[in-house]
Parts: sequence; C-alpha cells; structure tokens
Amino acid sequence: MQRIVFFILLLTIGTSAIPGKAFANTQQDENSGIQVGDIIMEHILDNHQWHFLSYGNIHLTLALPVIVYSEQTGWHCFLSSRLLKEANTSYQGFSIPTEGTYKGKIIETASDGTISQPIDLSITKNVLAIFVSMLLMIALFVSAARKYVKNPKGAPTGAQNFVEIFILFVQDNIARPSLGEEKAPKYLPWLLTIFFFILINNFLGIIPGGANVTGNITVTLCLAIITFFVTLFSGNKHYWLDIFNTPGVPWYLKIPVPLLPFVEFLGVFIKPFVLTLRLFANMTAGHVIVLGFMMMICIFGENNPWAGIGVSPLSVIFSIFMNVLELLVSFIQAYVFTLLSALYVGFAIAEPKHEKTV
Amino acid sequence: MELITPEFGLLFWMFLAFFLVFFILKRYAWKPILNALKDREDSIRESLRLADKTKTDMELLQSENEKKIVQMQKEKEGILQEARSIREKIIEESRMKAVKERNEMMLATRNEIQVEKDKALKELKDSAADLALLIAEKILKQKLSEEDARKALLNKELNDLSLK
Repeated sequence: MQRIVFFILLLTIGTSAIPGKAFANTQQDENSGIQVGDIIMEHILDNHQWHFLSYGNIHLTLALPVIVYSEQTGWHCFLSSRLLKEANTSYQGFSIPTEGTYKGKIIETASDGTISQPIDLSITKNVLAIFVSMLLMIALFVSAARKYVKNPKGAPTGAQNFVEIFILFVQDNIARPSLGEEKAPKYLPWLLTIFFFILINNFLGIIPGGANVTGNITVTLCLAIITFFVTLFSGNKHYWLDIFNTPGVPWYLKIPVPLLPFVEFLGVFIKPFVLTLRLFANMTAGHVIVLGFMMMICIFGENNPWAGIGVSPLSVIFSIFMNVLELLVSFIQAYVFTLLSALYVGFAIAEPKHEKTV
Repeated sequence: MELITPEFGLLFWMFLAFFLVFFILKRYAWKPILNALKDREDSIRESLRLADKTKTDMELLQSENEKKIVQMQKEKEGILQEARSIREKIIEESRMKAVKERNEMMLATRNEIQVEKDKALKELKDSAADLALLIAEKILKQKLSEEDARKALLNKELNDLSLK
C-alpha cells in the first residue's frame, strides 16, 4: 500500500514538473500566452535529446548521438547538444529548425544555401527508450529463464512469479484459443515478445520523463508490419482462397466486379493499419489528457497565480485518475494488440471448416 | 502532422532492436521458460492422473476387502454351524450308545437272573424232593399206627413244605 501511495506521489510530482519547464520556455519566447499544444506535442513526440526537467535556467537534459547520412558529405556522428544548445545552432552544416516545414528535423544547409534532409539514423529519445526497454526485457526474462532451468520442478519465486503470470496469460488466453493447441508454441515467442515490449513500454511511458514509445506511430507501425508479415507468410492455401473466392456469398458479388475479393484483399492491409492506429491513439490520447490537466494549472496561472494554485488540486486529482486509468489501458492495449495479432495469424493458418455453400 | 508521420530512423532502429531482442529472448528466455512450464504442466497432469488412479485402485481394493470380510464371516458362521451340529451329533450318538449299552446290559443281567433263578428253582426242586424223601422216611420211620393220623400228618407236612 505504501508503495502504491509512493508511486502515485512520484507520478504527480513528476507530471507537475512538466508545466514548470513549459513556463520557463514560453517566458523566454515572449510569445503571447502559453502554447499549450506545442508543449504537449513536445512531450509526445520524439526528440533528439532527452529532456527530463527544467527549473529556472537549470535544464536536466541528456544529449543523444546524432547519426546522419548526407548524400553530399557522407556519414556524420556527433552529440545533439551541438545542435540544441541554442535555437537554430548549426554544426557541420546541420541544424534543427524550431519552426517551418522541417520543424524538429535535422536539415543540411549546403554552402550554396540549398536545404536538404539527410537520412537521420540518430539515437533519438525513443530509440534510446526502446534500447532501455529491450535491455530490461532481456535482463528480466533471461534471469527468470535461468531460474526455470536451475529449478525446473520447483514453485516459482521472486521475479519468476511475476513473469509467469503474464506468460501463462499470453499462452492460455491469447495464443492457445486463437492459434490452436498445436500451432501456438510456434508463434508464442513472437507473441510474448510483442506483448512484453508493449506492456513494458506502456508502463515506462507513464513514468514522468519517460519516452512515449508505444504512443509513437513509427513504433506501432513497426509492430504491425511484423504482424502483417507473420500473417502473410503463415497464410495457408485456404486463407488466400477465401480472400479471393470468398465462400458463402452470392456469385454476383464476385463475378462481373470482384467487389468482395477486393474488400477482403484490402482487409489484409487494413488489419495491421488498424493495429498501428489503435495502440498509437490510445497511448497518445492518455498522455495528452494527463498533460492537458497539468496545462490547466499554467493556463489559469497565467492570468492569476492564485487561480493556478486553486485549480492545481483538481488537476492533480484528475491526473492521478488518468494515470491509474493509463495503467489499466497499458495492460489492455498490450493484451488487445497481442490478441489481435494472434487472431489474424489464427485466421491465416486455420484449416477449412466452412460448410458447403447451398 | 508530425505526430502521424513515421520516421525512417526510428523504424530502422526499432526493427533492428526488435529482431535482435526477439532472437535473444527466443533462444535464452522463451524456450527454457516455455519448456519448463510445459514440463510442469505435464507433470501436474500426470500426478493428478496418478492420484485419480490410485484413488480408484484404493476404492477397488477396499471393496474387495469388504467383500472378503463378508465372505470370511459367512465361512466362519458356516464352520461354527458345522461344529455345533457335529457336537450335537456326537452328544446324541454317545447318548444313544449309552442307552443301547444299558439296554444290552440290562438284558444280559435279566438273562443271568433268569438262569440263576432257574438254577435256584431246580436246586429247590431237587432239595424239595430230597426233603420229601426225608419227610417220607421220617413218617415211615414214625410208627404208622393210625392211618388217619398219618394221612393228616402227611398232608400237613406237604403243605408246609410246598413253595409254590
């Protein structure tokens, strides 16, 4: 119980720190009012540096390596602090504009003034967060696996307990019902990896200062592409036959205009697309709402500091509520993504059970 | 718009990291864990099956034992019954034998008595004849003076002597 209270406290303290930093930035900009949208976006989007918090002029920021390939000048590798110390600093012809079409992206300005976009393979905030979460997963599961090897018949202990609940959950409630008892073991490693990757990154994303990995469309797209290819390569004859010659529908939906086959074929691509959007939208929306509640303090505080103080308890309470809700959503989204992936593959590998069309 | 535009760099690293971790985890984590879980599942299933089997075996054994006990009791009853009947038979037999023996003995005794009686009678008759002779002699020896007195005396003597 104490731990939970401490955790919630940590969450609120952390999220409360965010508007402070926003304040500092906006005051420097001397723009009219607080750009709430921009501040929220900054927290949700990927970045070339990992900004934890700022207080006054002290900024706690982790500079990350920039790796770019330019067609003119080849490979470049340097720390992002060279570009981000001050706005619009350039280094070796590279810079990150703060607005315009290339806002937040690395651009290269050639000697004749032409602007081009190099291939950016930088270790950004999200990339680093992915690495961290992956290392966490390896540490957690390999150590758990060692315990299983060392003591195969014994009752699980420690981290093994925690891991086992989820592994059994994925096995018994996701893999086996959707893929069947025999084929489940083949796909289980993949399902477990995506499940834990999403779950751990969802959790890490809730922690203030954490990166919004699973709320990033690139990451969810990547996971969905993997599901797409797994489905594609496991699909048996009947799966493709059913797509192009859907059974149980009148012939006139297929013969002159292949309406249904077209719809079915589109479905092959729509499914991973929906997977991408669902996870991305759910996680991002959660973060936006939490940040929005926190921004309320700044919006009210801008007019009158007392109004800001007055509204802060409400903001904190709603943020706590949203954070707890996000804990739940984290689990649900990991479950849903994994379940749907398993189901899509399950459809693709299912043996025909269709009744003959009458 | 930036929010929903995939980044090439992130995609690249994500794929790289994901596949690397996937293969590492598959080899060093999922395989041993899933194998261990399956082994445990199997062993639990096997133990449950065994326990069930043992239970049914025990039940069978118990019912057999009960059957045996019932049978033994029946047998015991039978043996006791037999013993009782044998005892009664023996008693009856010995009684019959005793009665028979007694009867036989009585018969023999009676015969002996008869023989003895006959013998005694014969002896008596003999001695009676002797006596008669003696009396006759005595009478003859007496002076047979008076015919009437002699006759009366003879009658009287004979009457006194006759035993039957």
